[in-house]
Amino acid sequence: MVGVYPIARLGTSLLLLLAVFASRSLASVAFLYAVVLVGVIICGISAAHFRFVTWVTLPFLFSLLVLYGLLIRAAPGGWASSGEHYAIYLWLRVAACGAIVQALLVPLMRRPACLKAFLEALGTGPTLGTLVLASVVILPDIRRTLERVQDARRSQGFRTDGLAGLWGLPSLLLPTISSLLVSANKRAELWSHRGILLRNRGLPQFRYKRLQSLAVILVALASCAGTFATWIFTF
Amino acid sequence: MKIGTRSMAVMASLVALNVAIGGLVHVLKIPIFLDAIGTILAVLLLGRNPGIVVGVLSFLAAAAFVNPVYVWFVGTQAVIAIFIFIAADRFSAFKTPIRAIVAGLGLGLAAGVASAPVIVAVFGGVSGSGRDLITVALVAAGRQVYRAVILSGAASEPVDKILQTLAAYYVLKSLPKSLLARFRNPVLEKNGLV
Repeated sequence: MVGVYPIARLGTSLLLLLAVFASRSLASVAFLYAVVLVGVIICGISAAHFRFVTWVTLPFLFSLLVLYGLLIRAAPGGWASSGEHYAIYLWLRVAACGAIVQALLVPLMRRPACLKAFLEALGTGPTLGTLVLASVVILPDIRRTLERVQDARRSQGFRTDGLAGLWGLPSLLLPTISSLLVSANKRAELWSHRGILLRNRGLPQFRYKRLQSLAVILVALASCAGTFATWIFTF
Repeated sequence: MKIGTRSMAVMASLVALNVAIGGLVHVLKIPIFLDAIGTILAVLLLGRNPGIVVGVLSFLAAAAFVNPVYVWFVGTQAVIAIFIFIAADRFSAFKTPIRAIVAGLGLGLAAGVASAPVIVAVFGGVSGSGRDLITVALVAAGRQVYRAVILSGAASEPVDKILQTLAAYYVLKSLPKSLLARFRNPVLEKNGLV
């Protein structure tokens, strides 16, 4: 899916998000979610999406069922038959939006060259692309530093999770941020000395696939048309 | 926006810090977010606009790496950067720990109010965190969902934000002044950090 033209990729994602928010029935939001799920599977990010649904959206569902199913016992505006119905609709909406955002961002973040090409094609200029890429490249380094500090605290016998972890935050943050700023300065010296950030010319041109882009646009348009048709019939 | 090499390296590191700490807090189940500490440091070290860029980019990256829900709160990050800039530039909010606590309190209220419309419009009033307990209790007491979300944000966000402003204050205080002086940001001087 990274072969889809950036404008088409962003456009279809925004269109699908609009359709998800415009849908006013459980069936239409479930249909849109099913369409996006196919995209998620094609993108190869089904494991990431499964983790999102399990660890993030299920607590949402629980809170929504308590709020609308037990306390309010109705949907705002009265367009859903019951509070539980509305809670499940909202949960599906959160899951569908999450799937759209993941299908847009995760494959790009996994292939940094595509990310830079994507940002430049959207007209953001090379600086922003380099900044985003640099943060993606630095992220594992920062994670390692955080883990090292955590390991040091654990080996001293401290607990690092839950409320005990909260009290240990200063000892986690101080060395991490100090080391981050020092290494950022060293990195900046290296980058400016070697002129690394100015060398954009040697980058390979990314090739987009017309047929794949067309297929994604058509599927998104068809799903949105279906959703808007049900929306018009509902009113 | 033209960005120098040092600013670029620091901004990239702070974006990565926001994402890494957000992920760590999520994994360790620590009952706070700590997702704006990079944004606060970016404002204090580099200025308002780099702070906004760091906040927005870190939430877009966190949406890809940690949790797609983050994408809806990029506006809150921009509000955080602007609030910290005004607090540090006009009121020298990072001169003493007490001032940092007051700035954290104000930041919590601002972030709570800024994120409330998103929580109501996108998530129906819940956030999937401990904050929902307060929202549910307020709704049970007869409050409307929107008001309950604003009040629960105002009750829970300040604790998180006070911790972050205090952490930023102590980190900057403990760093060598020669290192901070390289950033040449007037905000650092106004707060007595260089």
